[in-house]
Amino acid sequence: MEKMIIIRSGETMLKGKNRRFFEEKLMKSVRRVLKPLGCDTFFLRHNRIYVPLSKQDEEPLINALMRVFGIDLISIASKIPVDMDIIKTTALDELLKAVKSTGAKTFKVQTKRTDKSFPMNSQEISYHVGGYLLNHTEALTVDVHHPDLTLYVEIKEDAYVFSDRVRGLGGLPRETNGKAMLLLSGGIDSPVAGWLVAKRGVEVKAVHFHSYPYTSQEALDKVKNLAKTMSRYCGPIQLFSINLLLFQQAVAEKCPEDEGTILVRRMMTRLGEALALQHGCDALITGESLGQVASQTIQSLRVTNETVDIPIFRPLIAMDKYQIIDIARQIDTYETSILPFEDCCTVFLPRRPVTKPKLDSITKSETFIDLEHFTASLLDSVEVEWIKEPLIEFLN
Amino acid sequence: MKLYLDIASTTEIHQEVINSMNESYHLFYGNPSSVHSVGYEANKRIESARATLLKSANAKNHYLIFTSGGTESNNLAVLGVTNRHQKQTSHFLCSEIEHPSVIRVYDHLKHEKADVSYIPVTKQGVIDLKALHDMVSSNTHIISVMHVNNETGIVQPVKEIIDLVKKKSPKTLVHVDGVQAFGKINVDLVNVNADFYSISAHKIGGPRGVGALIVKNGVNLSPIMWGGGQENNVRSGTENTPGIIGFEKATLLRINNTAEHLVKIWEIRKELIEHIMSRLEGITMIEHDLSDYQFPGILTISIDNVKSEVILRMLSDNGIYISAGSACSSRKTTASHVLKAMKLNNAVMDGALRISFNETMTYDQITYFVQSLEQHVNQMRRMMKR
Repeated sequence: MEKMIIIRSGETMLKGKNRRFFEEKLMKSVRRVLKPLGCDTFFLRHNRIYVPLSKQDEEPLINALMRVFGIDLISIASKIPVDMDIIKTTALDELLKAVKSTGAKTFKVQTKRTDKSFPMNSQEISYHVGGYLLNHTEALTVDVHHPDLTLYVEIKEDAYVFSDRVRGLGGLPRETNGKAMLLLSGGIDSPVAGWLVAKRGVEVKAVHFHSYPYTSQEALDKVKNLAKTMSRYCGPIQLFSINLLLFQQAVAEKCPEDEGTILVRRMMTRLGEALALQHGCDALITGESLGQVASQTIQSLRVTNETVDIPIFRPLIAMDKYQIIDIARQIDTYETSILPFEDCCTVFLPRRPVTKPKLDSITKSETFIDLEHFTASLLDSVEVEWIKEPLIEFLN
Repeated sequence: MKLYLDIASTTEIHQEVINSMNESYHLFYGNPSSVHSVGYEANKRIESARATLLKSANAKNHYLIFTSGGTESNNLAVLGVTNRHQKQTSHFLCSEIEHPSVIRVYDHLKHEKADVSYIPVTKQGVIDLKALHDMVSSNTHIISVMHVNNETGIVQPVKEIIDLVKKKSPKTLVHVDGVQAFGKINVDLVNVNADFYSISAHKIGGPRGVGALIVKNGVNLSPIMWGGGQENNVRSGTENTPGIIGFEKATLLRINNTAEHLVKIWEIRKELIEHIMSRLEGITMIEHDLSDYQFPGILTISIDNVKSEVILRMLSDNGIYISAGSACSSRKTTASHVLKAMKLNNAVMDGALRISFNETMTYDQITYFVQSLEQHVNQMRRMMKR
């Protein structure tokens, strides 16, 4: 008998003629997290990835796989010869182990048979294995509709028996869906937005705007730490940082105070788009949520949107704060996000920011500043860094 | 140019101190409690350092306990004389402008249901003697006041305070936190009859991790941590011989020239103030009108329409290192409790900077500092004033 982790991917399987491409990318993602743990004997067969567990402890491997986009289900199975007696005794072992850890009182057996040459069909196998289990246990009953526990039997070239399945993150494997540029602040929302889009197979790059020395080095380090945490899931993230101070100074001196935030926001999306196009990204990602702050009213979003031609993905647009916080906690960015360092916007916050900006008024204010000059010089001043966290570091 | 104007938070260790410590690692490595001669030599060396430090504070009727620094000395003074019964029945007093290592000890006692009051200060930052007189009673167990305030450099009239307290309640113990005073101004414990006096090495060119509590003879201290019974059973733990030797050396390097240094520091302060006032408008000096109440090596100013934290970063990029409020709290966004106690308004507190220096500051450094400050303040005011 051999122990195996079986990885299943839901959506990848539905990709028809492109399936092979998606599977290869999933294999690449799996390799990225398993190889540092000394595991490289996994293989792809029948739309699934099999990870043999020789002497390895399965727990760290599963923890690592729980951070891979594109995985729907993870199970630990016993691989055995296709022989009813062996299947029955193995099923019994699995069942007893599962009952011990879950305290389940009812169960059912579910069988899948790809090897049609096997003399019994799926229902017959379930019936026989189930009967055997009932005869050899006490206080357990069968419930085919709402069992506490499901025991799976799969018949292929070999037979596989397993009980628990863990839900993976879902989504699509990394690098299957192009690239996008995330506007990453130090707050709670933007890392969540980036993560959600990355989950759809998008390779995420990020740009951060700061106002050093009005904002601190700590604030910048905080953003790098956020990117580092995101990289656990998204893989290495290329982080661009731009000091907006000179532009903010010009806005403060020359434009109406109440339009300050929206004018700076428009500059951010402009610079974001320029960087996106320079680095092969086809969209921007922001953490905007409708009505959360002055620059996120429907009117403000329209005025911001107008500055760019590529799409802006706003996965949080209809989410409430608590929903966003839930995800932030799940992906471990929350604790970093709430550290109290001022980010780009707060120092220059107008006393009463405009909440319903008019496009013509905003574009008129922009004529007071040399936009082209600023765009060019700010893009010149970009600092770039690849951010990643060695897998071993956070698993230990 | 690199210009460290933050010596009230800590100092660069003096090269001669490093030399004497290096030597001690080889000569006095023995455990001072050991019977053999290597240990005994270390023990003798520690006793000689103890004598030097007591002499430096002119402490003729006191003994001295070595600790890990100012914070431990302050904790030991208050908690070492306070048992459970006293917590329940006695009254405790400390000023509103104490260092966190004092004020938090009293906060802790208060949290444990002790009767704790905090003595207010005048607008000039000096402990309100009238209020103090009203607050002290025969039931007051211990009172803590600092000698030189770490954020403003304001010198408290500790002799007057002690005389006042002892006259009204002879049994009340008085603890003076002298961490910012020792080695900088004259400390004379014959004249200032404190029951406890805390000192620290790293504020005067000595190493971190070593300090002392000077205790009046006859006052018994209980330990606040337990172990091998070193330091007269009060402070267990193998003695930090190199640290203690470094502390002694740092003290010797400063103590004989305190008066001379003070004259020089006053000159520098006046020069600094003159330069700042001639180049910048909207400056509030946070200082005492009378020079007897002001230690000159800490200059606290507030600049209108700036955020001190930002100025700090701008100056830091020019190689100039100063503080906003005290270093311990400057990473927090809350205002300084000392400036609050002086009833300064929020705008003044927002723009408060602390420049701390010693006699070595040169005229060129003053000019460079004020030039940089002026440049950044003007730039910032253009943005913040809208």
